[in-house]
Amino acid sequence: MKSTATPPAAPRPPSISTQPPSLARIALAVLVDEHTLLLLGTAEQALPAESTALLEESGLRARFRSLALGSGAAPWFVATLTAPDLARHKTGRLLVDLGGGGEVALPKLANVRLDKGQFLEACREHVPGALALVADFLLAGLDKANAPATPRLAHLLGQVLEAAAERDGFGEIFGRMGEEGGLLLQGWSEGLAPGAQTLWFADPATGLPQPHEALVGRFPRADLPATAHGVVAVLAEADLKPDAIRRAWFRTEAGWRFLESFEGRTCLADGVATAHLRDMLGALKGDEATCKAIRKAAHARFEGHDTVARLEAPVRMALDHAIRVEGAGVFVQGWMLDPEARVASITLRGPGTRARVDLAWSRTRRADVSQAFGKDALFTGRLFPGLDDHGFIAWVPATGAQGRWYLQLDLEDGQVGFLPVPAAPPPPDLAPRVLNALDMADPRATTVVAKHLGPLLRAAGGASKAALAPAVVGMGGEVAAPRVSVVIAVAHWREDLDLHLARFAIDPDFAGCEVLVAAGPQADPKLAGRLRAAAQFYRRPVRLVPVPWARHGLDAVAAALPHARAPRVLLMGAGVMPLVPGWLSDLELALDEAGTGEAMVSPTLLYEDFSVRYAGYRREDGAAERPGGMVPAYAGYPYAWLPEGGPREVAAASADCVLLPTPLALKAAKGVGAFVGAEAAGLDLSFRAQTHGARCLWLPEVRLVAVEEGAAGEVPYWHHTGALVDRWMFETAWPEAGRMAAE
Amino acid sequence: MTKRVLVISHGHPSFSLGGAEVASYSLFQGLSELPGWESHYLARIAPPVQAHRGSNLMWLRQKEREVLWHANAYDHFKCSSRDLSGIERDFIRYVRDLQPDVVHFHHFLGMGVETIFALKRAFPRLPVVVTFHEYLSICNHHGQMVKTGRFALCYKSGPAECAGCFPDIGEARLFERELYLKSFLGMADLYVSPSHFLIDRYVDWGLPRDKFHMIENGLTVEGIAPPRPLKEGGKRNRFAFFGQLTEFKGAHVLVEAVGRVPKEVWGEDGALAIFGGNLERQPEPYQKRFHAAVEKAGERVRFYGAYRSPELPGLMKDVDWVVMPSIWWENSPVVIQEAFLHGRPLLASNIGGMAEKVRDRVDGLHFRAGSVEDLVDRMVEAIGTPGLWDTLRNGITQPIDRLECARQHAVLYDRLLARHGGVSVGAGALPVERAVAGPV
Repeated sequence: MKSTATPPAAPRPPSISTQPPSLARIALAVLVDEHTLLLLGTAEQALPAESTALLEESGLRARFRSLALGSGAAPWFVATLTAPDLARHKTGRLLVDLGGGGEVALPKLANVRLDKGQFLEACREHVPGALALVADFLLAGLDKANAPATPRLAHLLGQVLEAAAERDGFGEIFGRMGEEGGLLLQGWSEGLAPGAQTLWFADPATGLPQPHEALVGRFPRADLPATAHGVVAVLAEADLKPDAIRRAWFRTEAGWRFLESFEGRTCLADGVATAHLRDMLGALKGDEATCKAIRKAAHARFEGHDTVARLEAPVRMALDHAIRVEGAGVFVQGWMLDPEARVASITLRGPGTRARVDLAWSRTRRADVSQAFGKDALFTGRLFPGLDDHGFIAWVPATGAQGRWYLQLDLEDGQVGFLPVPAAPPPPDLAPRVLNALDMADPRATTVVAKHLGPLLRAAGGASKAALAPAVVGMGGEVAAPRVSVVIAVAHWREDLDLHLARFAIDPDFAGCEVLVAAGPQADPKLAGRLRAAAQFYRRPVRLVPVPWARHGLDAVAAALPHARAPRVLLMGAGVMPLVPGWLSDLELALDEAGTGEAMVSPTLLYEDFSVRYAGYRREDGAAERPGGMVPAYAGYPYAWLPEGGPREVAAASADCVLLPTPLALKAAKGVGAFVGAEAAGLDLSFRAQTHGARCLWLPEVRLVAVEEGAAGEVPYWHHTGALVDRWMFETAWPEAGRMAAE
Repeated sequence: MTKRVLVISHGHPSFSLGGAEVASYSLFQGLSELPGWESHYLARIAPPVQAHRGSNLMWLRQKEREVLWHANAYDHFKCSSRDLSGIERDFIRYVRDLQPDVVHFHHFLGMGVETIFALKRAFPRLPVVVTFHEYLSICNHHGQMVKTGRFALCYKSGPAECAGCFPDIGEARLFERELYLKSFLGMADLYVSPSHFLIDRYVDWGLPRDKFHMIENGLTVEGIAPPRPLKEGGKRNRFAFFGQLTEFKGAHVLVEAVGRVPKEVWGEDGALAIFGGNLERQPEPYQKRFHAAVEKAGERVRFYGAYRSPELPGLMKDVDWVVMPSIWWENSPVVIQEAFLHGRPLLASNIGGMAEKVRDRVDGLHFRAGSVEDLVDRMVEAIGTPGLWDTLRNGITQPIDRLECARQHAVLYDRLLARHGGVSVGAGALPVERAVAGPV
């Protein structure tokens, strides 16, 4: 349980006699619950509204709040003392901090009561006219408390409010205004003033009074005395069950009042309340601002369909993508035409969510929208060439559950439009979908990545996959206790791993190894069949791990890793092609000799033209376009450039081919699924491994070919935009790396 | 003790009359005739022949010690079998039962290069020999080492170079192809090539030179055609082309050249006899080009259609010169050996296996490959130079026959067997253990 109390200070030695004399009297101290002490007394000196107090005997410092209930030489006061497990501490005198070094002493709390009813009785006896203030004080304390109220406190509050409040009228008609909440209350009252008010309702579960903002309107009723009015209250955000409401409390200048739920009240069916309110609008009297606000509330109800298209104002809106990542947020991408800036605010609404989109979004160029509406009568003369920033893209953090999501457009003139947000879970091709729409030529591209696409892809790539368990298909027999689990990632079109299995079969190093094939979504449908045939032919124990949701090879590998049975794993891209036998034992030896602590070992990787693809990474100035400024050393140079000799420590291993302990791999691969591409994910793997104390080693003299997988020719556009996202993601995760590169 | 050799071919001459098929069959026959050796012949067969349901091995009423293997699941790009289980089910079963001392591949086309692996795994000490008849492992363009599109000669194979011909495949896949093939070829104990030129190409590509041996293909001699008798004042003006009418074979170059030889040189009885076919299977533009050249050459060109080896003596008797105008490298064309067998000098393109096998101005004349003009000059020289034909005929070295070819192979086989202690290492005697290959 959280507490606002400061840590206990050391008890003061009793010999110190600098304490101020007590100028107060405690009439009653009631232990409301184990954390809260309620005091009623008098004090000759004004007590602070908010402060701390030292419990002299125990040395505990607790939060202290007080309110004077009158005036005079020694007015009554009510106070609360709050600290975790306060009930277990001896109290003694209370030294209340007055600020600036001063203190006021409250006398020793000799007789702490447990019966809350005694507090109410004492109030009635000593401060009968100040019950409303006591209620104010207690309710305000609720608002300021960080901890949830306990049932005993809730009960006390209810009792005080009950005692303080007088009945002022009745609630006769109740109704929920929509699936996403909202309450209509209609009845009569004498004291409930029109306009914005706060109504308090007891929480059905805890009994604790809870405040709700309400718009109150009045309408004449012939059946009431002249002092009373018909009232209608619209609680736009309240999520209350009409049949559970017993009372609605409200504060007037004269004190607390309540509307009692009429015994024969009407509870309108869901959805009918809004129509009922609209019927009532004509009868409302009073100030125009309130009537207008209620009118707006009556119409500002989302009824499941697009009403933006029916707005009279030149405002139109549509969505291209709406994606909700469970427990993380909602991503919306689309366009809004508003050439005259009529829209005052755009709010994303859904279960438990109300978030301003227009404060978070980034605008993007959408010349196609200008073109499409250029001849629309509503926009004639309002659209201008070159002013095409109609697009928008927004990631809105929201933890709301599945339900009805929509955008609410509030126009300056009070009109409201709604646009359904058909928020779907992230599709498997989320990355290409959203990344293809990012215009790299737009100077705002990096902002879009940092604020929207990055968080979206990170959230979608991380959380949801945890629950997905691949179905593993065994083929070609098993090794009883494999020495190394070779995990091959098939991330691109590839219908076989014949070469790999053939090379393993002719390389004695691979005896005693098992092979796990982590097949991403782009693996050819023929792969399983071809793999089975090859596994049988080459007598290789192979297990196929289909990972259709994988974003890239390393993501697929991460899903396959839990199935590795050997103490070490060799991660390999399908593009890695061994040139000569015997290389695996070189890697194993390097790992054996790595000394204390863990390590991950990569060989040199060459392109098919024998130029260098991987020979370690290094951080470089001026490589800001690369994640963390990490540049593959010697990349593209003839391999003759490479040094000779044994293992060298490098900034990162190559996830395309790396041997490491299986437990380390499992820990290091935790974050790879968030990345769009394998390269940044591979760097993340190394960096994460290093946080677990591992060293990254490179073996210059062990050389393999690693061709770039995927179709020959131009790189898809979304790979370029994905690199922007990955850079952001990597540098967000590893800010030190980026800073070091920049330095 | 008789030593047993299994000769493997990608086709049986009874069904596919290609040079490699004929050469492999000749070796099989030659070994059968060699004392102390026993040979067997396994050839691949494919549709339209249908496989049996129970076994992909079949006989099809061939000779004793011949068997056919129906293998039709094949990836031409990687020369890879698509029926790996079939390799064990049919091929290895047969080898295990046969217990050869040596297995000699004349090709793996259609069967899959994985057959070498399967052999080496099942019988690690069984010597495996591979004969290369063209550049299929090196070149994805039908093994021709000729650029796609413009048919320029290709001088080097490699992922980058090959991607120029196959941009859609790309360097990565081409590298994978190369490495894949080398993975298996590296497991063979020896390579045989009928030309030094081909050896150089494969060595350039990365196979070890010390594994290579050059042995000419052996001919099966069906009789020798005498020189064409000349009348008084007659000219040696009868030319012949033997081979398929594909663009690579360059018959169009020859026909165009024939049309341009001056009438007074050509003479009244000059002729170009074309023994070959399959023009109708060639791309239409080539057919048009060829027909246009034939039309221009008029009656000088005569078509005789396809032929079989036994017919050769009869065909050669009316021929003075054989022309080999291929615009690709060739390896060791059997046509050259057959021409030499019958004492006919050649006019040959000055590249590759042709330049190696035909010695310029010793037993033939070279002309610039693909050059109609140069060929015209050489034809004019051939017809018009008195005594040249006789000089070149006298310079011909008789090609080896199949028995000599088999002898030379037997020497190699013995050397391989000696590596294993000089004893027969027949498959049945071999323990089945894990194969260990050398580096690629």
